[in-house]
Amino acid sequence: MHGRRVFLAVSLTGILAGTGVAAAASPAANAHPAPAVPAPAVTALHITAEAWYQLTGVNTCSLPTGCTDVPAPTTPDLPVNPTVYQADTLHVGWAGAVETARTYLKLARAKTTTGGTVLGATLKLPVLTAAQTGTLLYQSAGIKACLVTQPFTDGVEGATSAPPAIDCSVSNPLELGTDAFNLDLAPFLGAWAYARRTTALR
Amino acid sequence: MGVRKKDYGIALTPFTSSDATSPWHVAFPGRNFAARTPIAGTLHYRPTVTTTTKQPTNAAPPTTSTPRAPLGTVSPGATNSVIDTPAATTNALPRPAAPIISKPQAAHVSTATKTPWVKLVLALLGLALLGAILIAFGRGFSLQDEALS
Repeated sequence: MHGRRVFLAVSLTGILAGTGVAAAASPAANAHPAPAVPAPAVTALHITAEAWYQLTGVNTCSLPTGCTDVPAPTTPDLPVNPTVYQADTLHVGWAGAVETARTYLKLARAKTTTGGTVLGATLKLPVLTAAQTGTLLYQSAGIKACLVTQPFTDGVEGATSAPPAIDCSVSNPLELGTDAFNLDLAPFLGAWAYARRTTALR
Repeated sequence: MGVRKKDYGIALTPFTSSDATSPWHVAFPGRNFAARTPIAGTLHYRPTVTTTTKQPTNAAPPTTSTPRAPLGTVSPGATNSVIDTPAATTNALPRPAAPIISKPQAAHVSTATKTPWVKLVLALLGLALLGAILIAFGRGFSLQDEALS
């Protein structure tokens, strides 16, 4: 009689194991493998449009009231460089407590990259130190990048017309390195993503 | 209207306090300027993940997911100015931390959740059957013992 009970117990264990009940009791046994997170990648940001404007109005961006439209003449954007500076250069300037030059840049990623999640972006702007470029006391310069909220014409050099509107509530100061300014574009990435969403909803 | 998808503009403007009177001027190389080191931008991103998991026959197809990452500050309404420019010449930046809106899927009980219970019932039935056979054998042996004795 004792031998039959042992046989019964062994059979019960074998059936339970064979039907997978024991495996079903363990949640880890049915878990799917976690997807592999791809490693961060780096790609180049290209300048797709650039322009700079000469300013004669008062810079209000440094005031508590923030940036306002700078009164400017109705002169259209000039296609050729009317300035004394070298061609194909961009300028930011400050003199007599007013802004004298402002640069606009439009960026795009390299065509080879596909979609993904942006983790960050930086921009390195080397300073042209040769005399004919117009650079003066760049070590004491304070420059910040602001969001552009209006289109601008590519290739404008030193136009005296009203510059495109900017929004300095989204901004980041440039850090001076060795003969170059460095800019962290993180605040702009978020703003551009917001613009995408609002555009898509309209 | 908002900023077009492909308009990613920044303006470089003085950040000097209004009482600073000493002038300064900074020149940067343009795209066509023969500079040893042009303006260089770097974008750090995480490529899109395509996750393919082994599913039962009636399971949902493989999903493509994009991990989200925190980004910089956003001022709501800051980019709502009117923009009507032609699109930029190259393709756009990858969408940072875009909201993922998933389509609602039909409710169904997958085989993965149904199978263990079916197996359990089958196992119990098998046990009952086995028990009945064993009891029958036991009685048979008992009758044989009684007959022999």
